[in-house]
Amino acid sequence: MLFPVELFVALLVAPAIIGVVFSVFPRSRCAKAASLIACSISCIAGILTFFVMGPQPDPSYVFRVSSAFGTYNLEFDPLSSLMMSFSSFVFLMVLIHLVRSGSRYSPGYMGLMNLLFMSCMLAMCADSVMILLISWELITLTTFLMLSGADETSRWRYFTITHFGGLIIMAVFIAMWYATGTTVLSEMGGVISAVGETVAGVMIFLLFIGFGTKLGMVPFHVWMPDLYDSAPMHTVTLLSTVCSNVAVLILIKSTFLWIGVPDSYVLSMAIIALASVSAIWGAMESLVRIKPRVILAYSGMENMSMIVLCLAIGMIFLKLDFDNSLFIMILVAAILHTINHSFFKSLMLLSLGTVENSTGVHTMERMGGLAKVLPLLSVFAIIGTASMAAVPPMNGFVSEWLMIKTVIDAGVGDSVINIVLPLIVAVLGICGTMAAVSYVRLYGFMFLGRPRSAAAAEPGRISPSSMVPLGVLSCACIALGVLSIPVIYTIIDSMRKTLAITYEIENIIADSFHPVAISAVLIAVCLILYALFRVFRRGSRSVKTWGCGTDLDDNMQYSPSGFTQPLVHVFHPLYGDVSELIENDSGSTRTYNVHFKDPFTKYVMRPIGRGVLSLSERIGRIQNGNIQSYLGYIMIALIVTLLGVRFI
Amino acid sequence: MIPDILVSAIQAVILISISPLIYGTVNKFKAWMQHRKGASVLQPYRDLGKLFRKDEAVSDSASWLFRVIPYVCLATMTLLALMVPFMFNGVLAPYGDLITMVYLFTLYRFAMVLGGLEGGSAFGGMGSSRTLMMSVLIEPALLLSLMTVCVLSGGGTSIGDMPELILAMGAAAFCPALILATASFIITLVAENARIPFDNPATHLELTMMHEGMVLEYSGRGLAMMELASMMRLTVFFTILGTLFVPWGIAVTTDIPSLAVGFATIIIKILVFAFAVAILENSVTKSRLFKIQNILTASFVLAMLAIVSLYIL
Repeated sequence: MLFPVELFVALLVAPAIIGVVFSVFPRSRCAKAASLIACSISCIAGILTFFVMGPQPDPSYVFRVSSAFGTYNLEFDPLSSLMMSFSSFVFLMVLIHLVRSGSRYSPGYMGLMNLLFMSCMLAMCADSVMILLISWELITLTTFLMLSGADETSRWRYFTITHFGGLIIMAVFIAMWYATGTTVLSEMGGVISAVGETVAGVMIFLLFIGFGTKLGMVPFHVWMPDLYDSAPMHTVTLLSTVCSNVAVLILIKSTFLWIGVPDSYVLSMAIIALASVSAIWGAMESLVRIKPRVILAYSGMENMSMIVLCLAIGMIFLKLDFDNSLFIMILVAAILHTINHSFFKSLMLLSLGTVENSTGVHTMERMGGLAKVLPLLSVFAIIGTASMAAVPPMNGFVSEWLMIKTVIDAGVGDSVINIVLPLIVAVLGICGTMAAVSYVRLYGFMFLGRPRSAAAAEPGRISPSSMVPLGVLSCACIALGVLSIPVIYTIIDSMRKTLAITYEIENIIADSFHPVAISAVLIAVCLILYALFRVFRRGSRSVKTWGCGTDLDDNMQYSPSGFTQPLVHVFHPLYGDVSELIENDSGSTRTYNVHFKDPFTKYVMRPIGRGVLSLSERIGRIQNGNIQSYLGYIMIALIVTLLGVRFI
Repeated sequence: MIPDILVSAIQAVILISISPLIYGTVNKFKAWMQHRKGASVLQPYRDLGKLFRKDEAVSDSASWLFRVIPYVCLATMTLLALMVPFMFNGVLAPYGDLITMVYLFTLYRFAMVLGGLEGGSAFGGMGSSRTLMMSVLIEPALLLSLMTVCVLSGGGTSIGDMPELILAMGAAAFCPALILATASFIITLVAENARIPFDNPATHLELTMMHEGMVLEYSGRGLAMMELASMMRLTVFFTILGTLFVPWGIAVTTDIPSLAVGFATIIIKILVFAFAVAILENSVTKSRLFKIQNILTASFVLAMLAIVSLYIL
């Protein structure tokens, strides 16, 4: 007995719409609660997508609405369903975390939450151009509205940049529609055969740029740090996890399924270069920042760039004369990393939100010693940190392992590409380590050492309900690492079905990858040692940290900026002239701040902004307020239009 | 013929148990070169034994993590010791994998760094900070040099197959790639084990210390575990150098004569490496902190050249 698809779509979408409706009621707790419950129902339906849609012979749905823009189709292919399930899970965790801290949000925020969930789901399973474009635009708009309270400049920066990306995406999809004559994406059957190699290459590149604005590729990452710093934590979490998942999924589907990959390597090389620069820059920036939110923003940039890098390598592998196993593996690595990223990033962002709520401190320079006062939270945070830092046997390690393993396995061929492969391993290695260093620093200065402020020494109470999602997410991080093999096979299987690719996988994973064995040995050794030391007990006493004979005060320990100063010194040419020292001398206290100015803002975005302003000033001169000139303009416009209509 | 698994288990046990001895031997060589008599090569065992019997003093600013870290460090090193072939080509568990190995070194290093930050003293912070600075440069080089061996042998990333495949290549294995990769790995070895010119294992002066700074807050059993893990790290690195980069002599079958030859060659190799480290430590001085990156970048470039030469030549 199969679950009817119509009913499922109704379960997925209807509660969310009802939730939106509830939010129009004035500030009442009931409306908020109802809205939240509606969204949770939709989320649970979303989690079940993979299980409901898996056995369906034809998992697609057509809305009974017709319009000039064709039909509105949904297609629940296995890959999309899988991503929908994982994303809904993360979304639900964010919702649960929001319950207790929800009092700070208005009912309208809850409504937007519903809308965001609905548009994310629709964008993931969209099968017609209109539904994809509308839901993508809705994601951008709802997140923009949910960012109220954030720093206005960065909020509008986000708006502008993502709409720039949105316009590009819109243009590409409408071009695809124009070229194939159908709005149904799965019926396009490879746009590349209709438009030719070059145009398809340009289309794919534009899509990477378009979605790259959301993922934070250079130079479009400039909205991220300030926005993450000031926006509501739950919006940031969803933006960084679920919305990124949507973008990656649509990128994969449009590149490999809807458009098709051109033979030339120029496209992949360009994307590889862009992604490498983004990844390294993200990692480098996260090393020197002192606000945890900003560090996590740059970490998102680094992770997403690694995923884009994988997609670009996948394009090369698809075209090289290998069997498809390498292509499948690198794509699995990309998808697995996307999923893992959404888990560990939401865990870290929500933990950080909890810390900020209970202490009111927003910068690492005033945190410290939290592991002593918030022990449970510190356990969750170390799990998240270890996952982000790709430490075995956590989930982040599994996907990074897959990436490096696949690139190494590509082996020696006779192609120019082979020169690029070691460079890619070097890039993955360097930004992996750099990012890991910055996460160790993040954890070390938030949770370890001595408290650097009174607020950090005595945090407020944390409600158990906000700890539940953190616990669940940490368990998921461990499970996705230790038990990753079945997950990997599920992804391989769904990808095979979705992309209709034949492949030969000769146990590329089973050969040398044994996360269960690794964790078993690690845990066994720890337990044996612990048992031995319990039997032969020795005393332990508490002493003060040795301070060379003086009493250590709060500031007599390493500061987060000083901690990475050696690295700044080593990589000075790259950080360049953008560091500056500001000294505030106010009475008896003195604070020194080191600021790093993003060179992409300084050298790319600001000049563009200035250019646009001066151009519009110049164009503005035609507005001279004289009625004769306006009549003249109308006349010129009329003549040009008439000529145009006549001759085209 | 002895079963593979038994040989692999025995060699892992040997590797773990001789690591303090190797550490003692390096110190003994150093002492001889300085015309000292030096402590017995068994001194590290005595030190560890004494530390294991002592009570612990834990900083009052340390959290639960402080007590967990020594276990993690020792468990990671044990796992690595099980992953590395010693006298016989083949490892105990099926999980011997090069990439995992690199990431396990990362796990070990990061656990130690977090331990250094626990006490909230400037010493620990300094050690941690400097270690991380080095790790950013070391780890890509380590990854690339191991990748060179892996691509050269052409047998995937499984460690257990690698020595045999390189042996099977015969003289063809003596290519620029292997030589460059070995050179890079030797620099990594010295840096990773906090030896001169990167760090001075013999002093507790704040100007030199990285490794010692991080373990400064540990005492008693915690310190014993950290020290044992660090001794094992030296031996594991020597063994990797002796079995993956210069595998000649390693046993590929489990009959007694070839195992004896394998055991003898690996012991001789390790003694040679220990002697070389002793010479290095006696002939150069600890380098300034901000000159370290030049040597480490050289290591990275060597590894890069190794892998690129493999693809070009």
